[in-house]
Amino acid sequence: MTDKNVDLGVQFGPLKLANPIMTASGTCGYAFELRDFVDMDRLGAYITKSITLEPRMGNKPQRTYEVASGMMNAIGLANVGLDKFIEEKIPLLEKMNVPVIVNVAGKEVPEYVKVAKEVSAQDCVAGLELNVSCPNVKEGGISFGTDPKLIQELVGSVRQACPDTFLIVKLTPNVTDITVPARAAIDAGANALSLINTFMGLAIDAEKRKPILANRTGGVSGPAVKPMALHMVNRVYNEVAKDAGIPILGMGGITNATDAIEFILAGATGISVGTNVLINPGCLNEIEVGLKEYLIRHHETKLSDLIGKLK
Amino acid sequence: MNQERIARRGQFQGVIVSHCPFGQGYNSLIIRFEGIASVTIAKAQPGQFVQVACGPAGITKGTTLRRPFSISGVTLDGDTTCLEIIYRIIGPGTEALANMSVGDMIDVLAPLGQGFKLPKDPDAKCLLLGGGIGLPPMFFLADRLAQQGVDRVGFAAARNIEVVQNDIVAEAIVDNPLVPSKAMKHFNASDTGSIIASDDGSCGFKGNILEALEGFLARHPDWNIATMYACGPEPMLKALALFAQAVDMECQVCMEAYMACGIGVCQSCAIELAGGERSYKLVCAHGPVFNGREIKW
Repeated sequence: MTDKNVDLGVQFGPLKLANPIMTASGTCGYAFELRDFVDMDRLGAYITKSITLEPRMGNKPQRTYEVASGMMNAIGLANVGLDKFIEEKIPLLEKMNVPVIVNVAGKEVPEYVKVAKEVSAQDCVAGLELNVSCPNVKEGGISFGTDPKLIQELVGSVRQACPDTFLIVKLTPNVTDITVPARAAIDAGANALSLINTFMGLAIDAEKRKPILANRTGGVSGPAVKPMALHMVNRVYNEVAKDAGIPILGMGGITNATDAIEFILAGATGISVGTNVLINPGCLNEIEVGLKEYLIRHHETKLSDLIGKLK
Repeated sequence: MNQERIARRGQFQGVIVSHCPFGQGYNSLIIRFEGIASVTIAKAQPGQFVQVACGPAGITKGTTLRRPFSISGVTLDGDTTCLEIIYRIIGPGTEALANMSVGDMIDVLAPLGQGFKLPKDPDAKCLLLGGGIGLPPMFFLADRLAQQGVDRVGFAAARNIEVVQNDIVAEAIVDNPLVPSKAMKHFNASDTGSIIASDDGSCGFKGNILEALEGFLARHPDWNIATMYACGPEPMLKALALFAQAVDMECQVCMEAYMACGIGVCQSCAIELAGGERSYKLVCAHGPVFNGREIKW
């Protein structure tokens, strides 16, 4: 068998993707920032950095910190804001040869709705990923993601405003039971779920007796969180998403094709790479090659046959 | 990827051809690149930097962020290009890097960021001011200015003579009688010579680098039109930038920041800008070289 005989294609909601590999919001810019390092045409889909209604300059530095097998960040959703995004970034995204999904964040429901409506009206946008889970901004973000009622209100409002838009909801792992917000999002009209955003953490400088990040807390990502991410993807797949027919975009510490296969076996239809793109941007293309090699080695022809096939 | 577009930077693997101590506590690492990597890296400018995966190339790199290093030299030799970095061992990343050997493959993102703006006028005068680990990009700049035949003076800062004799500063100095065995070509090939400033006066000028510069400018008023290029600890850069503003000289500063990606996507390395409302630029993408007036000191 050669790699011509294997099919990495997946059906992610309404999107037929050539492969399951996507960027993770916040680690890949707004369009072609990675193109010197990554063949963007070989992605399954491209997911942008979060967009908010107003520009945000982000938190004071220090904004990131390396931890054992990962990193922490508290960027604070630094972004150009909706107007500049539409004016400057959409023309770039129109040139993208793979489906474009725009990540949307906000402080309150009307802001999410306004951004979602305007962004989803752009022809080049194939779907939205609602960030209800940013741990690094004071208002909004994670406070939505940890309260199922707020998730329902938010997702329901966006669904109402954008009835035909492919809507992914990105959940926070900072909850006791991940199936609760997952159900809330699906009940309110989510077409897919992204699992997981970062874990809230604290890094301390013992000498100075101060937090290392200016924001005090930050989100932990990278290989350190992979076991928890796999567990959450698998739980949501088994207990909520499989029966609801809702695909999962799995992420959390993926660095190579083996990690990606693990997420697919756990129940993910798509996979996103975030932290490792900051370290080894070329991994986005390496994973595509590695997935094919895995299928050949296991005498499989279709990657989608492996979704949720954890024994 | 559009193959016709010639990338200005990329992710490349090269082979380590030299790895040796450079002053006490510092190492010089030279990596040789071939093919497209050679062509791309040969275009690196002084002030630009590289993001180095501090471990053998090809092995899963997910556990450690890359480490950013300013480029201290680039040499094109036929079809290959050699890139030098000079680094100090300060933590797990640089420790892992120090364990790499000649012959090992190493993975870099290069060349990154915006470098120094070089003078277009052949009659320009350049003041190169380096402190500690801020010296390596000055070596690259000095080399490039020498190629252009631009008049330049190098200043190196140190705490005391022990530092000078053992430190990267010693490697930087030419013809300093106090450190003859360490005399190196790195910093300066100007008729005017290089100036070393030590805090306690045990070597060269007694005082800090700004005081040394002020003294020099008083003795050589024709250098008041010079451009200052500076890299080093932030207090030093602050002092130099504020001095430059006060006397209306141009001052380009090469900044450092805690970085994750180095390529403008993660927004870690924000640096606050001067002016009324709080605003930032990214050291990795908009810098690391900034006009000293841009920065909120």
